[in-house]
Formats: sequence, C-alpha cells, structure tokens
Amino acid sequence: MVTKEDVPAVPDNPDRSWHQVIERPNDLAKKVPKTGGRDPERAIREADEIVKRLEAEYIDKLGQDIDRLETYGVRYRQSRDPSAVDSLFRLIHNMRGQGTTFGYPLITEIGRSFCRYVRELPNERSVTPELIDQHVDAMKVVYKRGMKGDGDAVARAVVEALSDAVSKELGR
Amino acid sequence: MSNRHRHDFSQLSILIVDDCRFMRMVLERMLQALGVTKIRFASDGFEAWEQLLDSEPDVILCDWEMQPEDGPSFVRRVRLDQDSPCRYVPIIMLTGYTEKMKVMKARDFGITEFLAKPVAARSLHARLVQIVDNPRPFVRTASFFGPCRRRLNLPIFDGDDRRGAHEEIDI
Repeated sequence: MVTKEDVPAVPDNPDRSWHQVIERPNDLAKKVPKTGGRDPERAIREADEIVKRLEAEYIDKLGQDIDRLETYGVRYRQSRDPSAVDSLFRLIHNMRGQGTTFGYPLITEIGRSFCRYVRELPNERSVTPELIDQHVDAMKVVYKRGMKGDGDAVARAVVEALSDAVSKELGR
Repeated sequence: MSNRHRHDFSQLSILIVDDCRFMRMVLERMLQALGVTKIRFASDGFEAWEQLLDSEPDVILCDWEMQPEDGPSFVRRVRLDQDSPCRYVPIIMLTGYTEKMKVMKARDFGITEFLAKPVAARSLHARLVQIVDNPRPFVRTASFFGPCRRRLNLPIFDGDDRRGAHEEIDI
C-alpha cells in the first residue's frame, strides 16, 4: 500500500507572482544507474526491429478495424446516433497513431483528416455520412492494395481531396 | 550526450495507460527492448487510478484519448486529487498532431514529457533518460501544480516526417 502526499498549500489571497518551487531528491537516478544497461543504439535498433516484426499483426488488426468502421458508419447513417461518431472518432484516432509506426502513413493522414473534421465541426452541425464513407473507403483502398509509404500519385490525390472536402465542409 | 551511458532500466516500473490493446503491446515490446522489465497496464484513467492505489509506478506512459476517463483528466487527478498516492510521478503523454495552442494548454495538466505519435523507440528512450537524468522541479502557483513548464519538450515528429512540426501538433 502506498502513502499519499499532500498538495502544497496555497496561501490565502496570493498575489499573481506567488509560486513555490519544489525540488525533490532524484530517487530514479538511484534506481536507474547509468552503467550496466543495454547499449542504447543496439537497444533502439532492436526495438525498431520488433515493431517491424509486428507488422503482420498490424495488418490483421487494420482489416478488423476497417470492418468496425464500416459497422459504425452504417449505424450512423441509419440512426444519426452521435455515439456512432464517437466510436468512429476514437477508433480512427488510434488507427492514426499506429499507421506511420507500421509503414502506412496514408492511414495516418486519412485519420488525421477525419479527426480534424470531427474536432473542428461546430457543435450545432452534424457529421455528414458521405464524408465518413469517403474516409473509410480511402482507408479500405490503402488496406486492400497494401499501400505502404506515401503511396502513388493517385493515393496522394485522394488524401488531398479528402482534406479539401473537410475544409470545404468546415467552410475554410 | 546521454547516449554515451548505458542506463539500466531493469528496476524501473512503468505503467502503460492506453485503451488500445495493440498499442499497449507495441509499447511493452519497445520498453522490453530498452531493458525495462517491470511493466503494468491499464486501459483508461479509472483503471490506472486503481493500480496507483495498489502500487506506485516510477513512470506513467499515458495516451490522450481514452474512455471513460481520458489522459488529461487522469493526469489532473494524479497531480491534484487529495487522495493521490503519487502526485510527483513523471508522466509521459502520448500525442498525435494538432494545433500548437492545444498542446501549450495541455502543459497546464501537469504533464512531465510529451511523446509524439507515431512512437519511435529513439524518442521513447530519450524521454526515459531525460526523466531520470534531468528531473524537472515541481511548481505550485495559485492555479497550477506540476512539473516546471518552462522545460517541457513539446512534441515534434521524429524521423522523416517533420511536416508541420512548427504549427500542427495533433493530440
């Protein structure tokens, strides 16, 4: 069981410049000696190789995620339930973070475009199902064609078109 | 230059908080390659809080977007909740890219370091070394409690993709 530590108190009616600096003993330095560990360059290289080896699992997961996106998209189209957009957003947000790690930056870019759309859309307006479909379809193409890296000219054009469509929808 | 050293992370305990099981696995494998052996997991802020009450980690690696409790709410609770068992624990926040202003504001949650997505092993290693070798003092003001914000490294892309690093920082 751990013990709790109090938050440092603030005096009554402190002036704007009041502050307290709290220097603490560096206990982590004792726990992590600077010698005896792995060679950092080698460890980093191995970590990168491990990520590469996870690519096959990533691709399986990407396919499953796209299936889920389609399900959420259909649900939203049929019900206009905002929770379906929340589900889409959270899943795409995670996909966006993983795409570039595993060599699929187009997934990251498409995800970024969708997340920007949902985040910046004024509260009084609803997400359009067509834009959801366009983003999901674009991800599907990247997945099915195994488009690693920045993709070809057509892929680049699709990503730019999505971004333009989002800007237009946002009125920018 | 820190990389001349061979930091031994084998006794460092890290709590990974991420709602994506796959990302938890990726981070775990990366940390293991760097020599970290004591790794625990939670899928959101509430679950992480339960773990803190049981045993205090040395470092928390926390995603931003999670449900039911997201990263910023969890960090605020760790820093300021009266029952927090470890309000000084270093917290590395994982982020994608968004507006710079948003990240600047996020400093106020009490984050120790940012780590940009996609996560690169080199950046992860650098953040751990930074936390161990150069711990930031904490600052208490009338409206803030957390690591000194003047030394906070804002997220930038690592590797080849540095587009927009000057403006677009996505969370």
